[in-house]
Amino acid sequence: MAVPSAFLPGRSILHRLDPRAKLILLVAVAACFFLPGPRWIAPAYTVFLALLVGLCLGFRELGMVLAAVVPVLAVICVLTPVFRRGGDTLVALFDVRLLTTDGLAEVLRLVSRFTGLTLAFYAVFRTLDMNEMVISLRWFGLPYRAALVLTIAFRFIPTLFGVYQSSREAHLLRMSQGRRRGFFGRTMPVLTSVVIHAVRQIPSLAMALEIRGFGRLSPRTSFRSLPSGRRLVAALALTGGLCALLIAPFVLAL
Amino acid sequence: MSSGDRTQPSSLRVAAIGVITALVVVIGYVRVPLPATQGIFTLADIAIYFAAFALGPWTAAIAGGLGTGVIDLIGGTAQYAPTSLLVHGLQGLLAGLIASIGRGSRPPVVSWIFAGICGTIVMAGGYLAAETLLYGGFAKAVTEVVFNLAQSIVGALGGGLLAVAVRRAYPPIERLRW
Repeated sequence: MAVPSAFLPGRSILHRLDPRAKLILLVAVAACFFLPGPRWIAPAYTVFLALLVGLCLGFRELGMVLAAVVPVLAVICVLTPVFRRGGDTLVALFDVRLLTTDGLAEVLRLVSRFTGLTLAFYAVFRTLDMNEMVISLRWFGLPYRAALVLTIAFRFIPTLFGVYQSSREAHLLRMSQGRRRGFFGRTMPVLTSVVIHAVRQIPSLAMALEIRGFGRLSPRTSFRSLPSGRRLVAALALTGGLCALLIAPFVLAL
Repeated sequence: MSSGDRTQPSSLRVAAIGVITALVVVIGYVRVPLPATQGIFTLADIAIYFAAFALGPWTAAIAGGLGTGVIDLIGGTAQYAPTSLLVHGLQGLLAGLIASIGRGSRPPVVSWIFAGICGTIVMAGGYLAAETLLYGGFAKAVTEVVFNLAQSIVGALGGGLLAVAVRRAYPPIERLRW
């Protein structure tokens, strides 16, 4: 089992955009899919996001993310008209209204929203390193302890994956000559080993944190930092402009 | 340091929550294939219920919410991360609070069963509400309720067994409860 990671290295516009700007824009784009407005906006934003992902990450990546949501979209397309039967009939079979104008509008709305949100989150988290995300959240005001918890978690994920794989192989060797066991019979002993290994690390980690000064009152330093000064001002100005552009159609429609 | 001691150093709590969050992510990546439906379901709930039964409600709430949120962020379903953070956090908190009732030297089976039931209702109900309001509508949300219920029930059973096994193998784990 390979250690998963969302980050895909690259040099596209999305990769180079300041991580704080990306998070602000993500919230703005997500909010746009829930604001009341003209019906064309959500599909238009979805198409724009699809092009953005295709151009910045590659159309193969775009294909992968769309393929992953196709089953969900199929369920939405099939089941939503059953619950929305208002408006004019578009498709009927033996006097049973299968698809109406309201049903079709609702399907388009939900499909656009689900696909758009998926693409927006994908675009951000595929181009955002987890360490930069934690530092960005600190900049937004996340308390130091919460950021430390996330940093510890990201640090231990690969270690515990390694322990899981080693434990699994060891247990498979031990069980290879006994009676065959089901999935849970094989997995629970492995999980027990991994959990015990993880829990044993906690007191040593706590001691290491205290040796490094955790809990002291003096101001903390940080090994990594994000750009500041003109680059930050430019990124925030660009973000403000893009947010205004995103919200403009809704304001004009009022 | 006694079990559930309120004077536990904060470094121990930060370390415990960080490590258990990583554990939720790793166990969440162990997936059970479901050939009949070509779906999968994850064992993350086993880790959440283990944390609730063995380490207390607050570790379960924070590690459960953060861990499942991270699984969504790194697994390609980042749009569900805020929902997972909230729903699994509440699941861990409620299960941990109920499981703490009647805590003694033996596993309190009745309170653990009740904790599993309440956690399952919160988890399935939370995802049903979120899916209906935010993502794909009621029709899609209803199709996933059965999977969510099954995932949580398996999680509660597995989490209970894991808690008993780990407490037997590593008794000092009691000192990490809060």
